[in-house]
Amino acid sequence: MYHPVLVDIDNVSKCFCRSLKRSLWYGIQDVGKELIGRSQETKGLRKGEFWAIRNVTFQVHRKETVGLIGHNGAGKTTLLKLIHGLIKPNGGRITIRGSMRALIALGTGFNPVLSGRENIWIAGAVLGYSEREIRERFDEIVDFSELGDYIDFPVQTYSSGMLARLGFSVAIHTQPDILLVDEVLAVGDLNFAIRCYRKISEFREAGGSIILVTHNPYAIRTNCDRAIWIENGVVQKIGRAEDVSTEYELATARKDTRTGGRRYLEGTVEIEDLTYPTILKSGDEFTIKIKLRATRMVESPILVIGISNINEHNLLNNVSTGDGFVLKIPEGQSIVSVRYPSLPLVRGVYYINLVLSEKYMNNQLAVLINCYKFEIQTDVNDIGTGMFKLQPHWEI
Amino acid sequence: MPNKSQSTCIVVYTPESPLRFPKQLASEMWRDLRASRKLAWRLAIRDFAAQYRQTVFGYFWAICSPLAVTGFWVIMNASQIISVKETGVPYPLYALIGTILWQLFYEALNAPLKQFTINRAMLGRINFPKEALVLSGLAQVVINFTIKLIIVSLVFIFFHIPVKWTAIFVPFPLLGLLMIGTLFGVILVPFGVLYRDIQEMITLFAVPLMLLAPTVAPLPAGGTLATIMRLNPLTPMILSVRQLLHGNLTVSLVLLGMIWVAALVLLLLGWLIYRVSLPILVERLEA
Repeated sequence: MYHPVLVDIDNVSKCFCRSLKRSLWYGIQDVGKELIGRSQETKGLRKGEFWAIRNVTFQVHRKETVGLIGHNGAGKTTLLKLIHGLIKPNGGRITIRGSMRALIALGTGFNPVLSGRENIWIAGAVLGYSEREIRERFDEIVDFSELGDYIDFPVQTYSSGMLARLGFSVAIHTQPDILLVDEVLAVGDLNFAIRCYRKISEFREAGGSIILVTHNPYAIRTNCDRAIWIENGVVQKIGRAEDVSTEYELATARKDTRTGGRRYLEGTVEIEDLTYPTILKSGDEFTIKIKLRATRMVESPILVIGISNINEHNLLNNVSTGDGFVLKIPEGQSIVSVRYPSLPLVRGVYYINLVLSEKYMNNQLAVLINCYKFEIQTDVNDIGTGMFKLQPHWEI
Repeated sequence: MPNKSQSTCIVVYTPESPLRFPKQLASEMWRDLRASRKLAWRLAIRDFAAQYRQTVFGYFWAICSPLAVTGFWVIMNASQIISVKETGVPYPLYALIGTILWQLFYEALNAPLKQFTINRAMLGRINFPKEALVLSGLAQVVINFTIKLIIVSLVFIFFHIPVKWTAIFVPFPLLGLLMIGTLFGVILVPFGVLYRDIQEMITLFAVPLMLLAPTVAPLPAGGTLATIMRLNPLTPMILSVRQLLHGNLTVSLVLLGMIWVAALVLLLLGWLIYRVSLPILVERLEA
């Protein structure tokens, strides 16, 4: 990146107070501090305060799209507000070189009883357009919003998608140097979302910089050059969008607290151990060895092996009898081995589920759900989503 | 907060108070004031249109409140519950002028906080010149006042009271009332945004405060109330409007001028407080 730096975030911190009453009182104190010319620099937190953003440093260059990723409450929106100049940092320095516009909460400033047409003028004025700019772009805005005749109806009659379309149309018809985008593009229908993203890439082509806030790793991978992963106000990782989003994704899956899972054992059979590779590449062979101990011989056992993802979607389910395998579980220890020649799953964290029944499927001796975890890795450049990763043959 | 460097395009945000860079602050305040005029007008039109669009009687409501308040005092006076003498003009006209002037001040006082509340969603999301909110509120107060002037003229005609030529100077004390109202209005914003108590207090004290100025009854000859009313900066403003319209000017021009200039200077100070406290208020709007 040799383009000039447009946004320079240097060791920025921001603290908030969770208690409402205390926060109001601190507010009065802070206003007082401002008025006697004292800095808002916070060395030690006051009672009830916490760091919403802590020592964050990064730069955004011209023509670059940088993603901010993190879970809800990680501090992404706070950071965006700091960059936008809506709130003041408690430490550090933010330098903005160039004009800036924000696509945050589209349609802010709309009045519900006024028509879409009237609201375009208002929203335009709020965003800082001159009368001439609005007049020149008016038809373009109306066209892009695809509202048709609805443009003359009060906006309170609009669906949320229509509202977002109008808001986006007003906001995007301008060329600032820096565009701040909050998770707003998920609204509206697919057709409109695609046009929004296209508009944003046009903006980028024209030399603009974008800061995109999202918790969707896919959006980061497809839109951004670089990404910053923030957790609890602290930067976890800065780097190439692919690397950061992948790491974020895996960390999210690993953080899954359902370890231990759900386990039921009737008593006849004890599952002593499960051995399998805990990390493998997509498409690798996958063998699960189940070591069990039975107090007596199990009559016509049925074993179900399943693999589910972290959203508890069952991806694979194999029943021993269905596969034509006659299982035998004698008294004492035995080992059952299940081998998948290839496990073509997409990158992520998965669980092995296991159900052992006697004679009938619903006569269960052992049920283990989400008790065993493994991880599938792929090349970081792999931006495919979905559930399975197959390697098709491409041809023209 | 934004510390502009050499180029107009560079903005820096730091924890420092903008008061440490007074020159820059002043130029930014001036820039934002200029930049906010158009937006203020748009917002004023928006609020005005929206206010009356959902009504059957429309703008009639704009003139309704002074008529109702005046009617109340006229009935009180006519039924001898209170008795007001020596007003120089028929009592209904006297009470109407007083009410409208009081409402001008009171609406100006209320406007900044009201605008802040109406636009709180916008404040937390978009960076726009916040002076627009104050200007927009002021514009609405002025529009409301102008509509009410129609009623005043009709009442003048009804009672065959001639309006004196000195009426052309009326905008001067009117502007004084507006400035004093706005001054208190902007100073109350930081406190009012953080604590709802302020709004409750403003509502609670509206009527008692109205009686501390010669709005519906002239200055009493003596007593504590008379002393308080004489100290009230609104008193000379209201008296001079009446006298310029239909009497002889007895209010000291020096006093008027002093109040006017003091209001202007304090208003600039109020603007500074408003501006400096804004980012701190915004972070508490919906955090």
